[in-house]
Amino acid sequence: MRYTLLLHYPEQTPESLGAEVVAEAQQAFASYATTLEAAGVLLSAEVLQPSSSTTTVRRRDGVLQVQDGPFADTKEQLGGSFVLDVADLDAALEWAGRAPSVEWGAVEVRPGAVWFGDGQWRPNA
Amino acid sequence: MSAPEAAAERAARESYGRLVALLAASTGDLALAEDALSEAFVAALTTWPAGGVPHNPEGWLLTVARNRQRDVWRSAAVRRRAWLDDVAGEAGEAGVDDPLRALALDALPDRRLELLFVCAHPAIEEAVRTPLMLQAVLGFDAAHVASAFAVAPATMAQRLVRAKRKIAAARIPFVVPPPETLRDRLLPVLEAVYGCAVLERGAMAGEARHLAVTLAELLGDQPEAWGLAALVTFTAARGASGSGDTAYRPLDEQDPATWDARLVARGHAYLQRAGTGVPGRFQLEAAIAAVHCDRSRTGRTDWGALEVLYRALLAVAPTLGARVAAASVTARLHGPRAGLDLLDALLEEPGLERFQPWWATRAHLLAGAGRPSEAVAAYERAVTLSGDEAVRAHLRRKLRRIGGEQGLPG
Repeated sequence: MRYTLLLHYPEQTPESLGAEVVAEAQQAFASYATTLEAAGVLLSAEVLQPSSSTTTVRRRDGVLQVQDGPFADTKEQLGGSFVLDVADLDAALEWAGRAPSVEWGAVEVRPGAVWFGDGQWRPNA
Repeated sequence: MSAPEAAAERAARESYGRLVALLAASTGDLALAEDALSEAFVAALTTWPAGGVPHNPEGWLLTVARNRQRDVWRSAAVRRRAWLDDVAGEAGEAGVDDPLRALALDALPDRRLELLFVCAHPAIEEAVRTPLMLQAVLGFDAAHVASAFAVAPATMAQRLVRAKRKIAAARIPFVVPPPETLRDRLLPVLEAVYGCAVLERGAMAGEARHLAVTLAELLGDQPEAWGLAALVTFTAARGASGSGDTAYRPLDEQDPATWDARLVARGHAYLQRAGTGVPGRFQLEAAIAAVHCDRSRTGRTDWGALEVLYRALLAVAPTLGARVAAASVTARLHGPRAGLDLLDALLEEPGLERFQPWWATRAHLLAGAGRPSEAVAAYERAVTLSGDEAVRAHLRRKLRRIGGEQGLPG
């Protein structure tokens, strides 16, 4: 069963955090991803650039609108995602609880519906 | 309901819960399990009267429900494949695999404990955990559960459907949590069962007792589970007055002769099974209930023992309700002013404005302390916060008594 962990947290700049804190967080995420991979549950992992660099696209009345900024302008922003393949929700929650950013943000655990691979959509099971 | 009727209903509910648990644990889909079982019951009602009740009715129901469940799985797999543009789907076939195939029908395993843990899983909205247990484990329909919770039937039905959809979609596992997380995960289960016991006027007191005892027996050696079983049994013993008197009476105005001595004895037995380790919240609450029940034997309430027990309870679970009850015990021993001091210490607590027990207790102590006009105001506030007409009538009687003493018009 595939679950996507969506990492939300208040955005900070490396300057406001300080080099030491940034290095610590990077170290924690490196070890988290390595542990997930070693356990054989990691399908993909991605940490995103800040929402100040994001662009949102919509089509309204046939016109493609391209806009600076995130989909939702909230204090906490989507900062990264991990896609895991584990047995059930308890296992997914257990891994989510070990994500370093639970300390300063929230991790949303969302079960997948279908996923695309080898040229076709496949049910999540 | 007569005693044999009640026993028959209990047995039917027990059997229902076992079958739902077994069916749902095999697929992770609670809603599907309930639907399949209700179709099996319909089939039984149409075929048993003509052909006779089968030798193993539970096995018969399970087989029919299981076949129905498998059919739905198969057609769902077909639908999934169609949507997926006719993929040759081995995943679909895997869904059809029937984990119940190998079961021995004459020795069905009991998966109700797993089902209880699913109903009170932290990923399930807290307010729907108790209703979910009543429906899935005891087979009450949504309308009945809705009336016990004083909620519109459509609202309750919607909440239950949403919760069941999540159980299947998020794949909440039908397992008893491993020892390292059992303690944390048991608490919401105990709280959900307790939530059934404290429904207004004991609407589900019998069911709560049944759930609590079942839970304790299935867990075997969890002291807090036996504590809860004892607590709800003592509570049921006091509510089981067969006098037909529907007026509300607070505990110390009740006649112990109307309490069910058999249930009191059973409560003591459960409390003993909880053992002698450091007691948790439910064991302490059960011990407090046991002291109150002891009045039927000794003719008096041991307020000193209650004070000690409340002190221990407040150390492990300082809920607003427990703190208000402790203040009332203190007032008994050391006078209304001492009790009022403890109530005043709660003034900053959130939600106090709408917490009926605080106002009712305060009103009672103010009257005792010779502050009638403040007592009247507090009683009036307590009346507006009471959802139960019998409780309101009781508080109005108290109000009239103060009015009478003051020479005010009742």
